[in-house]
Amino acid sequence: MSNCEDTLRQLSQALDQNPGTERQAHIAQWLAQHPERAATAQTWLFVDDRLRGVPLATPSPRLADFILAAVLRQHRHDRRLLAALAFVGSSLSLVPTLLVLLLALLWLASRVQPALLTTCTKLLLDLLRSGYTVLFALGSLSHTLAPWTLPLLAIGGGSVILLLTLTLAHSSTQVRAS
Amino acid sequence: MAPHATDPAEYRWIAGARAGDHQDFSRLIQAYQTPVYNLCYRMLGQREDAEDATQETFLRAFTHLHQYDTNRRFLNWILTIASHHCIDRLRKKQIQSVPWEQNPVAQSVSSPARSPEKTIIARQQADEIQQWMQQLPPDYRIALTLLYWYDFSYEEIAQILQCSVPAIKSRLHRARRKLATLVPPQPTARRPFPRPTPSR
Repeated sequence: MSNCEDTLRQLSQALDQNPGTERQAHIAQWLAQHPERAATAQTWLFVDDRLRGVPLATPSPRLADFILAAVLRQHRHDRRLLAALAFVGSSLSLVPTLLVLLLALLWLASRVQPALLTTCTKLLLDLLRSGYTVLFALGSLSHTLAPWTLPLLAIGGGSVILLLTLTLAHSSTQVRAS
Repeated sequence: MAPHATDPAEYRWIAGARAGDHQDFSRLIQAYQTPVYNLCYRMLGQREDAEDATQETFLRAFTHLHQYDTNRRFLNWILTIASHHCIDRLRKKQIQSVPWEQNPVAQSVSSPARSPEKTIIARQQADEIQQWMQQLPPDYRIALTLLYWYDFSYEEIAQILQCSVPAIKSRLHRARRKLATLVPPQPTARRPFPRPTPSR
């Protein structure tokens, strides 16, 4: 054994792992020559026995219920967050589409009759305003709806607004032609 | 005792919980709440803190269940989460030692079959052990807890605490030296050291 510290480390390991007969005899011989270290070893044995004698601490019987309730709360919160993000994302993605279509409609309308331009613009703005009011009102229901419902509603609502606008523009063109 | 990772039922529970089945996750909670709670209790020393930490451990496990490697024992994985959480908690709150008078440890002895006298003695010994444990630095405390209450090998402890085997041996050695200074001298008869048949 190289030094005292190394031997003490080996004593510590000998409590956990079988050191083998030869090493065991060596340690015993060393301890016989070092009474102070032998006393330390006895204290370690005592602590070791005590530690092994203490059973697992048991939680209160209701802990599992509390944990499950917390997990469910967390899961619901995550779903709501996901739904809100999906709704905002899909609503935002509709904006550029609507803008492009609006510009195209305005261009068409100005070719048919310049006077129609003002009417169409006003009507479109009103429709967009109403549509988004409805969509944001639905957004507040995010905690009661499934995560995929709101994006679908947003896309559906946007499509309805576009269809109405297109129909209106088409009928206006026909009226003008007749 | 909690089922081993090779237990097919446990695989089903984990797969179910990953798919969002709360019933399956509930089964995992039932199976592992005691070992997780025990670790948290040994580390934090207070029942309320331990229950709170146990809850947080399972929440983290649920959130990161997709990261669990099924080749590893689930117990080791969840104890890794619990260990990190408890050490973080201790570092944040800087709880190095808890006043023993405020520490209800009646729950730590759960065997109903003991006689009242034996129960009292066992409770006193458990109190004493917990008192000593609370005076150790968290790194030593966690290593001792994993060794004595879970029968983990040095390699398993190193894996759970994400450090090397020599580091674990060193921590255990230092923990024992520190404990030896806390324990009053024992008048018991001398016994052979090391034991003829070590427990591990």
